[in-house]
Order: sequence, then C-alpha cells, then structure tokens
Amino acid sequence: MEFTVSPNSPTPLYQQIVDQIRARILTGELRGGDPLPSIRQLASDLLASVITTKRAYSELEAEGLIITRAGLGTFVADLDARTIEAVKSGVVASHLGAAVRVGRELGLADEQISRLFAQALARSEPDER
Amino acid sequence: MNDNALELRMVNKSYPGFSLRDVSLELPRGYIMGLVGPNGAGKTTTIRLIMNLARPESGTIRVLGAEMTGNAVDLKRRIGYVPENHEFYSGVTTEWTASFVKRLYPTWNDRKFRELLDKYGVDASKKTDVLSKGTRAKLAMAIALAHEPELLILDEPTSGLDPVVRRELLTDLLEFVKDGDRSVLFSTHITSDLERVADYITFLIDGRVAASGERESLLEEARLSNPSASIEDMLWTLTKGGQRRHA
Repeated sequence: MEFTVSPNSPTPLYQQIVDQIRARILTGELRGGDPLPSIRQLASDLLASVITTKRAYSELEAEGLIITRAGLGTFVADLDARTIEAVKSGVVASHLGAAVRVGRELGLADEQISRLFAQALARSEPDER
Repeated sequence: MNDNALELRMVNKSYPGFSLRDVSLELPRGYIMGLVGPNGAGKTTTIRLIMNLARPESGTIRVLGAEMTGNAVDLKRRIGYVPENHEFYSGVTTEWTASFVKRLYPTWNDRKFRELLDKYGVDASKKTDVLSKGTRAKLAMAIALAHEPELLILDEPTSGLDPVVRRELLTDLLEFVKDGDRSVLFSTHITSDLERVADYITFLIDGRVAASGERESLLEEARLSNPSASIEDMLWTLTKGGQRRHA
C-alpha cells in the first residue's frame, strides 16, 4: 500500500494509519475482499512499530471496515452502500464537531460558526475527478 | 514456555562512582525494545551485563528463555551483537574480518552476508580502517545478521549516522522482526528512533529503570498530564524527576 506516516505529525502514528486505510476503503480504492498486508509487513513498509500497526488494524476491525480470517490474513470487509455512507458521515461529523468546539471555545455565536462553514464550503473548489 | 526474548529481574552492578540498581525489564519475543536514557545512565552497562561481558552482583538475566550462566556459548551464538564503536581489527580487509568471525558461528550464512554487503554497498576488498562511519555501522550490522540470530542487541546503533543511513538501519530492524519470532534490543539517546520502530521502551535514568513497557501505553499515560507528550518530553520529565529525587 502506497502511503506514509510521520512521527512529526501531532496525530498519533496508529491514527494516521487508520485514517489512510479508512479513506481508501471509503473512496472505493480498496474494495470488499481486497487483501491487506500482514501487520508485520505493513509495519516494515511504513517504518512504524509492530504494536502501532496492530493497534491500527484493531481499530479498523472494531469499526467493521476490515476483517481478519485466522490463517488467511486481513481483508477489506464487504460493506453495503448504506454502511459506507454512514461511516463517511461519521468521519466528517467528527471533524466538523472539532471545528464547532474551537468556535465555541473562542466565543463565536452559532450563527457565526454556520456562516463560516457556508463560506468555507463556497470557497473550496470541488474536487476534480 | 516463557515467551520473553529477554528478561532482567532486579539486576544490580556497581562500579566506583556508578551503579545500576534493581534493573528489571521484559522484552516479549517478536518485538523491538528501545533502551533510552541520557549519556551515562547505564545503557552500555546493561547491555554488557546481558551479553555476559560483565557479571551482575545480584538479580537474574534470562536470554531466549535461559540463564546466561552455564549457557553462554550456545546463547551468544543465537545473539547478534553490535557494540557501540564498531571496532574491527585494523590493517585487514572486510573479507578477512568476515572469515575470522564466521569461524565463531556455526550458523554463519555466507550467501546472506554477501547479499547484505551488496545491499549496504560495502566493498569487501577494502580495509576496514578506511571505511566511513556509516559503512562501518553497516558492516557491523551485516556481520551481526549473517549468522541468523534470534535476538539482535545493538548499542547506540544510530549514533553519529546521517539521517539516510539511520533510516535504512531502522528499516532493517523492522525487517528483522517481521517473522514474529526474532527480537531486538537497542540503546539510543535519539528519541526519534523510538517513535517509529520501538514497540517497548525502557527509560534508564541514573542507573535505574524510570519506566518500562509498551510504548503506546507509556505515551498514553504521559498524555493524561500533557496531551501532546512525546518520548522526548517523557525522557525530560523522568530525568528531571530523577534528579530531584536524588538531590
């Protein structure tokens, strides 16, 4: 899998792995049944410790995005469209939640926060695909 | 069966002006442990005790499931040891050095040694004295790996290396434990080495173990009081705490 993690990021290493694999599953780049590298293979590819990588896989497993079949390896779970949408919404909601918390901490009114959200939405170019 | 690659229980050793006190640690088979601490904290002494190059006054040291005493020859053959200063006999080539070392290890794998030299770009016909510091480090690593050890013990392997060689070396450590059966203990005072590859960390401060355990759990604990705590922060806090205690 082509991605990298960095200990210099404020996001913990295992979370960086979780975020990147999850994004690939949600965008369809990884599909149900696709095999994932073994924990130790991925650790060595990413230059991340074995326990860190193990933790990332347990997290993704707990979210229902991957499954480990004893003796066979780890695979992307078969997810129906509704589940994928729900997980996507969950990810975005948690980022928005963080933004709302920052706004509240800085004493912004709810209307200001939602105006800023609308502006950010308007300003951002739609992704070209 | 006990599945620790390394187990120290209440190990004590004193030298004039320095002592190691009640050092205990456990490294499960298949994982990497970093031994971190300021200069003079006792990292090299700990490693020398594990390698049976010095004897503890009390406590027990078990390596690959057995006590060193009485099993030293067999156990040492199963350990790849890279001491701190990569000392080689001078005036001789890499080729000669390898032929000397391989007599000591029945499991020496010459094909593997050649592959490693190739991979590391070490010219076997050159005299070891003319090799750069980075190349000497790679040669020491190739020699340690060529007899296919189950446990790799490295004393400050990254010290003085440029960032590229350092990263290559860390990659090799992860590669080494990939089969889940082999383990690594390495000492360092460079905390960023630990952030990537160490599953377990033992903080050695002033001859004592200030903390030892799974890196992620130690960090999580530290983050209760400082949400962005890094290993370097932990080392700082533990060192300062230690100094206050002994003041």
